[in-house]
Amino acid sequence: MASESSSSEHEHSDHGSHSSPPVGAVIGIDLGTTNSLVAIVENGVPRVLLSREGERMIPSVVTLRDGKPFVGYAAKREKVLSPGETVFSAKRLLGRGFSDISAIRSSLPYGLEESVDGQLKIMVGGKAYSAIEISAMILRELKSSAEAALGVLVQKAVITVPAYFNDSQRQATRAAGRLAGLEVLRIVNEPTAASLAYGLQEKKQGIIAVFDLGGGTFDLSILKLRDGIFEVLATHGNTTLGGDDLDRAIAAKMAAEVKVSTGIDLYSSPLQTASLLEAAEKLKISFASHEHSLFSVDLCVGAGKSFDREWTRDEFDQLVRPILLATRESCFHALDDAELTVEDITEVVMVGGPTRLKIVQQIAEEIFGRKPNTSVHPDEVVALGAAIQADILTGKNQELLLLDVVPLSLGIETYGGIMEPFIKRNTRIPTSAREMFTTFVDNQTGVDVHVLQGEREQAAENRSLARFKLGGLDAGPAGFPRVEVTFLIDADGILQVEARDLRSGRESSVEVKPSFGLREDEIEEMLEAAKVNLLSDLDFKRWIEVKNQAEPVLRAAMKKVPDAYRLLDRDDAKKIELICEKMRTAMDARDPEWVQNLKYELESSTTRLAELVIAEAIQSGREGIAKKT
Amino acid sequence: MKRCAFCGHETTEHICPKCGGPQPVDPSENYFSLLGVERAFQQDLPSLEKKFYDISRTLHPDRFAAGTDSKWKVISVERMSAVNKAYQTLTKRDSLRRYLLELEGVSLGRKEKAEGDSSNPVMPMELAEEWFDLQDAVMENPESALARISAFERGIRERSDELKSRVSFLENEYDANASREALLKIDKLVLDGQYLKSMDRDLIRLKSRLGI
Repeated sequence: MASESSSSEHEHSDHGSHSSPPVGAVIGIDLGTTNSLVAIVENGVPRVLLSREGERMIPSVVTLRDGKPFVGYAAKREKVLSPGETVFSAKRLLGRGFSDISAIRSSLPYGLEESVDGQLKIMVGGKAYSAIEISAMILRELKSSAEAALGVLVQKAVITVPAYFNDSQRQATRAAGRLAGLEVLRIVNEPTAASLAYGLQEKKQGIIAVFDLGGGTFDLSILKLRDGIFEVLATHGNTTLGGDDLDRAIAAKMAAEVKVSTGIDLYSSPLQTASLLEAAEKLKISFASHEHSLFSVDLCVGAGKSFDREWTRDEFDQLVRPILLATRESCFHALDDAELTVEDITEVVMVGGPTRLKIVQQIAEEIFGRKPNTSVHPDEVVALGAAIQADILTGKNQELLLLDVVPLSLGIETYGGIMEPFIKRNTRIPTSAREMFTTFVDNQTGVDVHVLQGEREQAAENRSLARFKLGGLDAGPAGFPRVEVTFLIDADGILQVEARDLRSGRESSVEVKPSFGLREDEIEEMLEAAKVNLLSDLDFKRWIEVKNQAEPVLRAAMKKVPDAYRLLDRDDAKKIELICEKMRTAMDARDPEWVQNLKYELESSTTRLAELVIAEAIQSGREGIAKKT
Repeated sequence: MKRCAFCGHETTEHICPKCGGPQPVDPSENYFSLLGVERAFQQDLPSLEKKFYDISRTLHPDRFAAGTDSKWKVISVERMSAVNKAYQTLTKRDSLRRYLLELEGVSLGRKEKAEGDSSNPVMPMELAEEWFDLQDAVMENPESALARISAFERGIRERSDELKSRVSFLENEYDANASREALLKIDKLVLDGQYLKSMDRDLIRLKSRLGI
């Protein structure tokens, strides 16, 4: 791995703390449906960064208390305790409209409403949030985690998305990153990122299939690995299939049994539903390593009465098999598009928590006719890959390169509501296409363009990405004005549009408003509004400074507390202990002024103690010498 | 001699060897010159892949993501996009053939030709007769349908194989001595061959109607 530049960057590390990474570290983020991770590459080696709670994974769950977000395990506990204030699986809502999510709406215990323009609103604590805002809260937590772990400011990131995410979903993810105060250097496809980490670990060449089953999405990507190049040949997937669906199947079956045997409807309250889903998830996870397991759900939360039922893995496998068989279609589609057969695949790499389940491995084996490779860490490999891509983008790694594709065709709506594709699915990116537009009637001065993404012939059955008007055309006979529109798909798989009036040569600016997402100026506005609540960059630097000075003082003082009780009077000792406690709270609150003041207070109130301790040491030293002689 | 769009250094590379700037796509460039291969129908796929990988290694926008000029970023996306399209086109026989004919200005007249009667892709008379006979026969005598259809399909396959070998002979001729005459013949053969494709579709439809 190339790491020539790392030595010079290490010079920036302040007062000799030997392990501090380069200033302005670029992190890799796996923003998952159920869990999220953040990773970094240091000296060519990728590693997962621990959360502030000391965990490798941060649940993608947000609880909102008086508008203040709590993210991660703290929020996950609230999932059952206060389901109305807790949002999970927000990734399933990213870049989607209200009408898109009718299938999963009933299984989400928090409120969902439709705004006037068809946008989706998540209702918590009487306030409306977009899925972008909720995702930004998770990303902000990941950013802070990384900053705490690295001791430097983090402003740039690579974020992964399911390969089968469409343009709206990618735009929404990028917007969430921006809203979290991150410059998103690249949106990378999850299976592609996983292949990078796999390739680095296994050092193998050949044609691999990455079977990526996450919490809410499934992707199958076929890649050619050769001489450091990771070339995606084809990808297919399903953005509504994941581990969550297995939980829901268990929950539905158990709720039916409970209803029959007790008459209780577990779906009657959000609280009950949340605890039912949690019990189902627990059962599912246990089948990754057990043959039998007990399903147990509280019949009335908190009342101690529960419904228990023994399950075998066989029963579980039979229940979920039909759901998982939906993965077959994606596999064969991808093989077809890559013009390959299963015999051409040299390795099937399993990615995502649910691939720990034997039934998932079994289905992958049935499809590809070979034992899947489970050597990579299914939960961490995507984040590690994102970090490797971040390393590539910063120019430190010149040996590896990803060549990716656009997962779904792009086209425009033509007469009769038919979609005419101009960029076919699985085309290598970046790529571009030029289309000519003209007027249909005399003296028409504008042309409407409707951009679509999807594989269906009927325009209405595809995802509408954007509608825009090519305006300001010179009046003339029909078919006379000619506007050339360039559609460009960048390396993020995101669409950009440029238009040029060929007669006047004028560049007409096209503003493409994402159908379900935020415009750049909307993001700016929200960032501006959020600034008051955020530590600005300058504040952050000040905080790190203060923290670095205060920490040793606090540590030393805490060590001396027993001495204080021995050498000082009780009140003075108690006071020192109290300041220490306050200071820990202030540290947690990341309040530099408070910490600074407490540090002074601690220093002045321990001066006398320090003197006494030294005096005592000298005394005992003398006694030691005295005894010897 | 072309000059670097940024520093003026003489270069025909994708990336200026002096300043490292990616070069804008020039109108004189084509898919063959972009990938640095001969203008020919026959392409060696492994060496095409190697060239594509080598270019990607330095030109891909990932190499311009950190701290470089924003203009360089835009141009690397544009040029990489052209290289991607070139590779996609030249690695598939059909798309390569279409592209080369178009590049040589041969298939530009196709629209007019299609409207004229002489070179319209119409089925040869004897084949059309065979096709009508076949349809009548399977309606009258469904038991023998399978055998007759298979025989007909064999005939179609033979024609298509013959067409392919003639096209490939002409392609070699063009590759060897840049014969324009060969190009014109290829264009006509490809156009004539279209009826074979529509025949395939008709056959599938007929078979599904008969439940085969």
